[in-house]
Amino acid sequence: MGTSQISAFGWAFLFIVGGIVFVVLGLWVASLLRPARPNVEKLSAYECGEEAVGPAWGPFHNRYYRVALVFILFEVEIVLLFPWAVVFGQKPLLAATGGQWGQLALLEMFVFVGILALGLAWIWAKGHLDWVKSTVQSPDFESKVPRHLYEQVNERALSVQNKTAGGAAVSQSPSPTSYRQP
Amino acid sequence: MFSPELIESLRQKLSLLSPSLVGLGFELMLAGVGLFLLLLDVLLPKKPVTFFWWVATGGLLAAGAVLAGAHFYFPVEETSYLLGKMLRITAETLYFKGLLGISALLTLWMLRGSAFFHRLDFPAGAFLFLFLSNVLGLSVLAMSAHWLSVYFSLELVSVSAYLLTAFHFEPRAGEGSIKYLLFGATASAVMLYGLSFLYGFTGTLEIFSPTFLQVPVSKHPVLGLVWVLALGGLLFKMAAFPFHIWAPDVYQSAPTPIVAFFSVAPKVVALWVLWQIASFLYEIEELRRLFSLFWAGVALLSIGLGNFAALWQTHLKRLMAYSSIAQTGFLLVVLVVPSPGGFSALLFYTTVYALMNFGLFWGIAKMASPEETLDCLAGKGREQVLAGGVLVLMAIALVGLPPTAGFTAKLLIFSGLWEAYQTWPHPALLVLFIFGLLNAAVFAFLLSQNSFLAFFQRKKHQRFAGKKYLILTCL
Repeated sequence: MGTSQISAFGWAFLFIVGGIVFVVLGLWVASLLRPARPNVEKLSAYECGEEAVGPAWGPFHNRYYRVALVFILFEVEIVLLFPWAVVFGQKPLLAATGGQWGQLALLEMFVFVGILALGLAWIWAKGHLDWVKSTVQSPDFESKVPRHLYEQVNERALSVQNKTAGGAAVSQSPSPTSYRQP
Repeated sequence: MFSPELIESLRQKLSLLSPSLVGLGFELMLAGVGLFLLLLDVLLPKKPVTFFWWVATGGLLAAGAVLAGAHFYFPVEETSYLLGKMLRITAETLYFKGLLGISALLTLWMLRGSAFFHRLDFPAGAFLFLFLSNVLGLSVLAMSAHWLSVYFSLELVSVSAYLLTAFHFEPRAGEGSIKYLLFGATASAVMLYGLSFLYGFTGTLEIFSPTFLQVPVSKHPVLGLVWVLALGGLLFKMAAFPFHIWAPDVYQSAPTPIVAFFSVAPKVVALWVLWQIASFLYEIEELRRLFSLFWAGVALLSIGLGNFAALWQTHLKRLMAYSSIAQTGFLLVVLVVPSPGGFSALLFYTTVYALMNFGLFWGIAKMASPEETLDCLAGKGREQVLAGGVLVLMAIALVGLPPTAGFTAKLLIFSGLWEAYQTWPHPALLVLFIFGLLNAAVFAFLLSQNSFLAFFQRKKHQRFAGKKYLILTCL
């Protein structure tokens, strides 16, 4: 970039503009191509596959923060590793310093990654990464009603639903009228 | 594709690296021992607490030996810079690092005798790792010659300190730790903000770069605010007046040996950095006047607030927190007059201060019951004569009464202040002088109250609350 007339911030600015243009352009083209058929479920806020229920200020389990912190640590590690990988093996630098530059950069990165790995091992060994697993309890209720009766009810419900929905587009979401044997 | 200047500077930096690593022996050892402790904690989690303690202590002693070796490697009269201009080593720096190492050893020794450390499920590996990180940060701070290295080492010190505060694992400890974290994060943000201004004015962050003398503070005194912001992080670590709020809660909730360390090491090291900055800025007469007044103000308010707030405390360690705020004020008096005489006063005062505080906290740790109220000392001095005696002796020394080294230290500081007043008779210096001496009396009462309790009071006797107000009205 030695010959260009763009200042250091100019480069960053170009990247910012490029990022914005890329996103806006992509969304705009997609809006031209896609069919637009909104429904209630499509229009609801997307929250990582979870249904957004209740206020956002609820208490979280602190295990969530621990895992999030470890995740961010390693994300930052990647952010550092990437530019490092770009400059570390540059031939002119290696030649100018008699290989010292490469040795130092490699050693430094090993130390850095080693410390992070030790941290990960520690947090793992101390059980801070264990998630609370929900235990599935199967009900020990034995139904006296035979299975085919349940199926008859379900079939009847399904045929009613098909008639009301016009038969073509059947909603695949769990409908409130389908019964399963417990 | 790479400019020749860049390659040349790279070559230069690489050639500076290996002598720098020799100078950083103490720090490298500390980091190595800390990480080794974590590794042991992963591999041998079943080992007893004393095993980890011995590893940490042995590592610290070895690092101390390396530090002592550095005395021979770096010539006493010369200033050596490490890692470019990031750090610098002088004979005084090595002295303060030595004092830091001794404080760390005393803390480890106090830990050995404390009950909480020997609890069955105590995470000793993590605790000692954090403690050594704290020492490491302070040691880098003592050498810093660049605002970024000041900032990073302060962060290392702070983050480990927040965690060390919480190691009683009670709600109270969590509260103290969170408060410390919130105030600390604010202080470090304030410091960064000030640093960004300084960088904007000068284009450099090297502390001892002459361009800092040209920040037009004397023309626009409001620019002094920029300096105050930048020094905020150091004032926070010292628990000086506007940044003192965290101290009582942290002192109350943290384990006593750690409190002893907090009340000594960060203060001494931060004071040393402030001293370097002050004596550098004081080359310019106008800056000298402005900063003298600033330090006089901070010292005055710290002494006053610390002492008078301490009068109302019933909790032993809260009381010590406020008294340590006042002590910070006394330490800051040194900065009002940075002269060669002032420097010897600084060396003497910090050394004596470190020993006094460790003695006092050792006495408290020995004698106080778990709730650590003032009343729990009642009559204990008769049962534990040695601990009680040390407590009383150190209290006398902290007040600065004649037969002790504490007296000499205070005498040095205040005679320096008096000389400064005679060369530059500004009323603020006189106010500081008189107020400081008067406050020593309040302080005397405070600590004699401890000693009185320990030796002369029968258990559960009527508290002499009335006497406090008597003293206040006397003043």
